[in-house]
Amino acid sequence: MSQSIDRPMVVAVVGSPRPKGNTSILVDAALAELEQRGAAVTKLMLCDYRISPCLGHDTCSDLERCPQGDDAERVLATVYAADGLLLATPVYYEDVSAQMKAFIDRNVFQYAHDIFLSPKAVGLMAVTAETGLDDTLAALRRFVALSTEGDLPIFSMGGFADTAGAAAADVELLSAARKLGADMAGALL
Amino acid sequence: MSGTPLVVALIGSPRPQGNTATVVDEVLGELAAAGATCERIVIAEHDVRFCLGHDECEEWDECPIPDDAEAILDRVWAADGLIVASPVYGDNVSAQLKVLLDRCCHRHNHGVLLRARVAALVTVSWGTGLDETLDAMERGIAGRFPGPVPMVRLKGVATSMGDAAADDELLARARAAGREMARLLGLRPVGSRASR
Repeated sequence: MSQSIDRPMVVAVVGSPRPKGNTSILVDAALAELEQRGAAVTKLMLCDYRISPCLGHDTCSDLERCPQGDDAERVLATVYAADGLLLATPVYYEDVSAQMKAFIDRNVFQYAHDIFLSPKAVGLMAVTAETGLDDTLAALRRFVALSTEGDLPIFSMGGFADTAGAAAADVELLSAARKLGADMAGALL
Repeated sequence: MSGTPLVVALIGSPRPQGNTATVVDEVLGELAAAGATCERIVIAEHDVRFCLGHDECEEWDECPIPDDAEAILDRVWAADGLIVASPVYGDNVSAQLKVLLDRCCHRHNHGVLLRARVAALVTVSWGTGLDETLDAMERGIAGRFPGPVPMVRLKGVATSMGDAAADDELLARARAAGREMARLLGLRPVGSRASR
């Protein structure tokens, strides 16, 4: 705690609409591990912010600020300052949630202004009741590829949880989430 | 045929007259000429909010989110032919389309399946992500049908506003996709209608 200034900051972006859902529970486990290993952590539940879909303005690269004036700007500022980035989403129709998709699309303002993510480690997490883990993790990976320049360590986990809150009692899942946090910590610290 | 088939195009672009919409209009033009009734829905022109993942979804008769999603989905569920269209954003479907796809959740949880017997998937990109986006659309809607349906795939590249309207090759492929949908819907080819 005495070295808080030097601690790497890990930001988790969570695309679930449920603050206490399975995705959120597993993110907490990963973040607890990171914190224990010396990282500072911030958890952003996208559903706590107002982030609308991108409106595809032709003039985007000429604009100093996105004219939508919602919470995207401050969420992106936090995300782009992170040393470690954890992206977590439930699987909705074999893909990231719309909440996560709106966040992803709003990064276009950054690209249009030649601003790219430069974390030292990325963690990806997808949680599903049935199918779609690989496709959803692949969608997150495509976002990371578009948003970063050069190679960086990417760790990922997929988990099955079919009822609300089931992850909290799933020893294997919780252990996989902690391992994700430990892997990220290994790359950061 | 008794009654004309209804084709509903769901456009996930924020631009009502952008390249994606231009390509969809070309597909619809061919379908209308073949005798289909066509509807065009630009999701961004409506109030459609995020699915909130309610635990009680399966128990509720209606989705409690008070927006336009159900009215749009009523049209989608009425369609004999469904066109799903999106620009490529983040090498994937647009958030506008994803919001609506997620909102199919209530019908999905109540076992209410699409009746469309033909679908088309349309995407336009400045460069990358075309196949990934078509695949995401296909995965997103495949489970909403009672069984496999033919899905016509159409993709195009357009770098700036208005490019699609000037791309004869892309527009020709769009018309071909429209004719293919018409054929799959059992409509006669345009040229043969007068001599029927």
